[in-house]
Amino acid sequence: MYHRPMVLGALFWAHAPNVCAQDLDVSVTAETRYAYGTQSGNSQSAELEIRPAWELTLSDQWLFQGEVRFRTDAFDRLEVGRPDQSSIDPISRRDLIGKTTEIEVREAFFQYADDWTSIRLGKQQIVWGRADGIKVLDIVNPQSFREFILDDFDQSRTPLWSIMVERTILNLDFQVFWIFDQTFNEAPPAGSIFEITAPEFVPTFLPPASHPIAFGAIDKPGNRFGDSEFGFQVSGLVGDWDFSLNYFHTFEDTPFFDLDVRSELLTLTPRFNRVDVLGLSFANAWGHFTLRGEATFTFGENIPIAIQPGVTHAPVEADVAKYVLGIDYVGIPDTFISAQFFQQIRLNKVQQPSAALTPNIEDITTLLVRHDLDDGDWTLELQWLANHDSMDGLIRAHVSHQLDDNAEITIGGDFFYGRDDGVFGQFSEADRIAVTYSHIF
Amino acid sequence: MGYDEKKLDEFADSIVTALDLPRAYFFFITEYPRRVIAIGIIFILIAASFIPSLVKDTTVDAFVHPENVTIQYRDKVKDLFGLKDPILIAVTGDTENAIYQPASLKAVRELTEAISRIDNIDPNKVMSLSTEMSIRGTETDLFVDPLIPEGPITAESAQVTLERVTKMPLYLGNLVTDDGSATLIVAEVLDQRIAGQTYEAILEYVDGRAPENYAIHVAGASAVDGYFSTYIDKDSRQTLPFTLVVIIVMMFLAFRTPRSVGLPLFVIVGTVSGTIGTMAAFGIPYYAITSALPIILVGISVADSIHVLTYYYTEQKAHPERTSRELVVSACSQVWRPLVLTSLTTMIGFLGIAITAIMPPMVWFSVFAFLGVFIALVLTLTILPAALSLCKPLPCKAITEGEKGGLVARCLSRVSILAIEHPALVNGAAVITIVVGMIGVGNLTVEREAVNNFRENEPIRIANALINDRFNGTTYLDVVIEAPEEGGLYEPENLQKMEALQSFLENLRHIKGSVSIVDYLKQLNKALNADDQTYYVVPEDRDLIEQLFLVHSATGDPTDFEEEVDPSFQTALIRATLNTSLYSEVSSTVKTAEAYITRTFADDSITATLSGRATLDHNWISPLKSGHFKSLGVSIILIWIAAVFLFRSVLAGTITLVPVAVAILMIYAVMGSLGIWLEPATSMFAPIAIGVGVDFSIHTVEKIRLYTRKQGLSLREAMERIAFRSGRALFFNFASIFLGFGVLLFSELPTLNRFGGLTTVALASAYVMALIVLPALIATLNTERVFKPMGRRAVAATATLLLASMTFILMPNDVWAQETQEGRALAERIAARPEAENVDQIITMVLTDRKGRTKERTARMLRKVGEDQRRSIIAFSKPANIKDTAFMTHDYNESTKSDNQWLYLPALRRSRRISASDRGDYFLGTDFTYEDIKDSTKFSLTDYHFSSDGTEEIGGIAYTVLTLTPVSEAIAKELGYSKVRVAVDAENAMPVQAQYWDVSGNSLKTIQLQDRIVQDGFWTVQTIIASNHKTGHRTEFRISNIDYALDLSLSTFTERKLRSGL
Repeated sequence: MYHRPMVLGALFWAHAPNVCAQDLDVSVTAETRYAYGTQSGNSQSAELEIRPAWELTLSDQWLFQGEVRFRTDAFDRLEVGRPDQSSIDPISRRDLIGKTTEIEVREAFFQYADDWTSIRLGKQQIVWGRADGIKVLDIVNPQSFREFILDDFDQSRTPLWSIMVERTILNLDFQVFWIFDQTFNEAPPAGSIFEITAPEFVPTFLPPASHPIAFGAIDKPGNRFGDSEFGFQVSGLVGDWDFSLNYFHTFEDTPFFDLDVRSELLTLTPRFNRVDVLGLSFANAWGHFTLRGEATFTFGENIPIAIQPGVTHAPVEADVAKYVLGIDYVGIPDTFISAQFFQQIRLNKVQQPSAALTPNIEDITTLLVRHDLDDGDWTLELQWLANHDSMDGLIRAHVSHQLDDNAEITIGGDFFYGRDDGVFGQFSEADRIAVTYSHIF
Repeated sequence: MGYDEKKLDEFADSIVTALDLPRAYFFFITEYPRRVIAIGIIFILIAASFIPSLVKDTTVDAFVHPENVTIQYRDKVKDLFGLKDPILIAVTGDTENAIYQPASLKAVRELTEAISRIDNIDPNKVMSLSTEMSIRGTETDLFVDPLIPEGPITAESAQVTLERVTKMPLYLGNLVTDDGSATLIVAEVLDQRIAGQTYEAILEYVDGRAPENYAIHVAGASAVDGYFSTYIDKDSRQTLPFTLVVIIVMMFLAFRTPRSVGLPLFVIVGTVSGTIGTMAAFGIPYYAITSALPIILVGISVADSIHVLTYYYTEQKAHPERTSRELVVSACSQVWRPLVLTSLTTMIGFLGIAITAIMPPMVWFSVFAFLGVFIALVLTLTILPAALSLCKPLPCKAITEGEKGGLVARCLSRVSILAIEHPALVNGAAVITIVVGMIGVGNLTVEREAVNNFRENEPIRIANALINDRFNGTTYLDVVIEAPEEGGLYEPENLQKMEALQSFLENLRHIKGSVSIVDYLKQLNKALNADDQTYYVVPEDRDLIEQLFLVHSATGDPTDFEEEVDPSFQTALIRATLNTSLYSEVSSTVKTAEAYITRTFADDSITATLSGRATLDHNWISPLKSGHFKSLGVSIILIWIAAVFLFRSVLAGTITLVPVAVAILMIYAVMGSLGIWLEPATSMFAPIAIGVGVDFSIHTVEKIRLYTRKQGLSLREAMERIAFRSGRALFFNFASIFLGFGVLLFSELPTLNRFGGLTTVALASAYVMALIVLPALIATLNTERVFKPMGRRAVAATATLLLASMTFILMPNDVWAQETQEGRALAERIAARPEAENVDQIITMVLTDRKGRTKERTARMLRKVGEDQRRSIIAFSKPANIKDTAFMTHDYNESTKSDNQWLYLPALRRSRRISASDRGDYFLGTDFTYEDIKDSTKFSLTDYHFSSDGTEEIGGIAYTVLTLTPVSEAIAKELGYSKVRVAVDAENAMPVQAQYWDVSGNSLKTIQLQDRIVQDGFWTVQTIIASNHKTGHRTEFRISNIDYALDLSLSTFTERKLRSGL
């Protein structure tokens, strides 16, 4: 029987009152959200989230930090039925209560920190990179696509059991971590509002399969040590430039589909591709402008191609470079404007180029405009993500009002457009308007 | 390597001829004339469709930036006390106490009721003898009664009114004249924009309602502004048709064909509709001075059309066999270049004004004049040739006399030749004009009086003068008094401070009276002491003061004091009245009051901020003169640069400017000698002189250059040819707009008379100068010398020099503020004051908004001071919504190295590099900027010039005052401050208070550094309070758990530490 994280959370909850008051900081965030699908004409979700968080200071250097998320939804449309969580390591899975309620440990780690060194041991998020809304270097933790990319990354990023050590040497921060939690991206089940259907993410046959298709059980790496992941980062300031150099020995978080033909039956088995990723990031500021960027080079990344029975039996791999360049502008009072350009370049030729489901070069641009009013009590935000290859995109507009230090209300809409087989366009029926109220106790 | 300029020119010409792009372009335009016209019409219709949504804003507010502190406080006065600039209705009699007669009091009562019912009058804010209360009493009782007893008005009740008013001195001068011969009804308007209609409605109502032997007058700042807007509308409707008729007649006289009237009219309408429509589409209001814009655009578009038509008909005369299309292409191919050049220079001139003007209406005027010139050019080079190509070629009777030209051309030719023959005479006359103009500049006075915009016999002007003469006046100077906490205005010392301020104000020459809660308090005190005059003072005891107001609330209406103090007794209003609205007098009064307030309200208790119409007038008119000259200077330099580049000759470029410069100086001479004020309306002559005047010059110089250098003609022959072609066109261009503006001389508005008069003088001067002085100057200097091309390097060097001069002009005056040795020395002492190398402290931040709502934050700050830099991190621990948010800065001593800043946001789980120029932004909702947060007790030695500024007493202790001025406009913008005035404890080089002014020069905030102690040998501040005077917001930093003994390392201030918390 594996260790159930819930037990750990409950343990700290139970012991909290016994801890000396000044050493324990407890807060609870309660968040309710209602989302209405403007295309479907149906409610998408009516959720209540309660997130108690603890910060237990054990000494000047040691502390324990934990957070649990209780989530219940009046509708069962974001993750239809009981998700099988097959891509999640058993030690990290959520506790599901019925179809619409779940409990998950979001954070549970011990931290040691002094002037020079930080160590974190436990379930945590490790975040790399400097881009907003686009993940190039932020690849350490997998992600839940329950609401595609509409949920805050902080909530959709899947925390992992890991050990991270950071040490500052000569103005440079060295970071090394080891992840022994075999968890991968989690896609919503079929029939969910944000079910992923774009050809590049699901098995796609070209020409259509002539035989019955069966899905095999997900084949995850099985050796907790041999198949674990580790990464390294050195970051700091050179001149006026922030920079980081990164290396990550990992598995791709999205599976490829291995095809097996057995007695007229096509069996697709989701498997994960081991890759090495080199990365870098940088930032600098001049006047009202900040330039940010990050890039990765992945050796042997799986390339999504159409499955051709009899031809494709193994993943098609290519070295892939990705980068994002962003410029932030703050020259207008109380206004933040940010534009980003993302490009993914496949560096090797794919053997059957006609079968490739993504172009050799893929471009995405983003624009974010945020304006604060009334000393920041009101925030207006408009975000636009556009994929220039599939000519689709996402427009998000939100208004938030900080009612007081503890309460905030947000009203907004998320609107997809473009081709049905595009990364964004696949959700063109999932447009929504949502209102969220959150209160911190 | 050397090169031959002439050969290069020839080579360039041969390329142009070979390609002949302009000709190809006009062939294309005339190939599809109907489509071109259709596209043009669609554009005009689309733009014109926005015109109905055009918003008018003729208020003086428009001339002031919306964030100006005066506007902010004026709105605050409106919100808190419901007071604005009212309409004043005076009921006047001829004899002493004439107003205390039943007939007059009855009229006052009826008028009050009727005016309350008029649209746009706030029924709750009408004040008169029939609405106000008297406060009187005995030793035991307090009576709050209406001034006019309720019920029918009889001789007895009139007598009672007299007695009650006499015992309430605060009404004398404000509501009733001292001799009782006249009284006022004060009515607040709801919407200032329609105050003109409200004024007329009141005027209509009061007409014929004055009792026998009494008169009724209506005035007030609100009425003056509102009525002016209505008046100018009516006047424009009367004068505009005349302007159009004049232009149509002139166009007809010029060419004597219907198309020569219809087509230019089309271009004019298109230009004006396109420009005004775009203005409406972008939501830019139509300001009072925008009225001059259509006139300029008419002038410019007429000019463009006349030039095209002149060339067209000349071609037609020379080649009668050609088709319309051939004539159009040939004419346009010759005329496009001067048209583009003149339009570009005019646009550059307006651009110069746009980038330097301070007042929003001036900026937008120039921006849309720029756009209008562009639209006129585009329409002239598209629709006009397209439409002409569709017309049958008909001869023009006006151009029938071959190369000798008609009467006009002959006259022009003779005048020019006369100038060439007697250059010394002409140049001497120009020099005299310049000298007289310079003297005029010296005599130029910035002045304005809103009521002066009306004719002397206009009722509103008579009423205004009467109220200023017999009552306290029509112009209000408001002072907003704010206490740091609720109930602060019950404190006797605060009320005494207000009383002293009122007393000071009332002793100023033009302030005839003032009203505040202090007057009512003294009245209450006196009333409750059997009306004993010795008790007409502010009581010394806070409890007694509170009791007096409590007693009043039991007897009187709870809203009685709503115009004087807010219900929490934290904010109060002193309203002083000036008997003048003349800018110079108002401004000097405001400056004196400002100096008194700065001197006496500098301590920690109550604050005083000036507002009201008087302050607003002072603020918006003060920068007019410097702004006018700066805009003009930059505009002329830009045109000069353009002309130098255009003619590739400094001399030719300079000569081009002479007519415009002389024309402008001529205007100054006229203004100086006739005593015409420089005010917003009259200052608009300059852009017109530039916009239209420079066209005359460019056309003339360009043609002289063409004919003498490229065609080898003598100057005399060149002038003859110019007279025949461009000269004739220029004459009709000049004549049409000269007469067009001349129509304004017949306007009902004195302002428009002055504007029209000055503009016609400017245009005539520019035209005559172009016609006479230009040839004379060129004759004196010799054409070879004038048009000798400069090397490209010389052109580049000249441009750099000119741009540098312009930058010099554009630099704020503050840059040249003298730094004093003492100031620098003290600043260096402050910078060198020992500070702890390692700092660890807890900061509790209390943020209080205008309504008294508070927010509290707790943060820990670590700071390490190194040899060449210091690094700090502030990490928040409370409240929960910003917990773990952290801010890190690396602040370098070296001025050339910019600071680095990062913000860690826990929701993103990573730090973000932020721009160091954000240092003028406010830090997480506090009243401290990122720059202030770094260290409020020290100031960057490289950001400011420092000068000593005497001493200032704060809390009974004299401190040395240091004035900090940013070293450049860019730094001022970055910091958000134009000036900082710091009171420094010179003994230990520790600032105790800093007052900040924003980039517009308005009072912004005060930071006080309190609870100063010495800890471990270092001066340490434990309380820092920042009060923002604009927003009423306040931030208090309480610093505790201070530890200087820990050992930090600069190297540990990295993003890792920011992420992992302190």
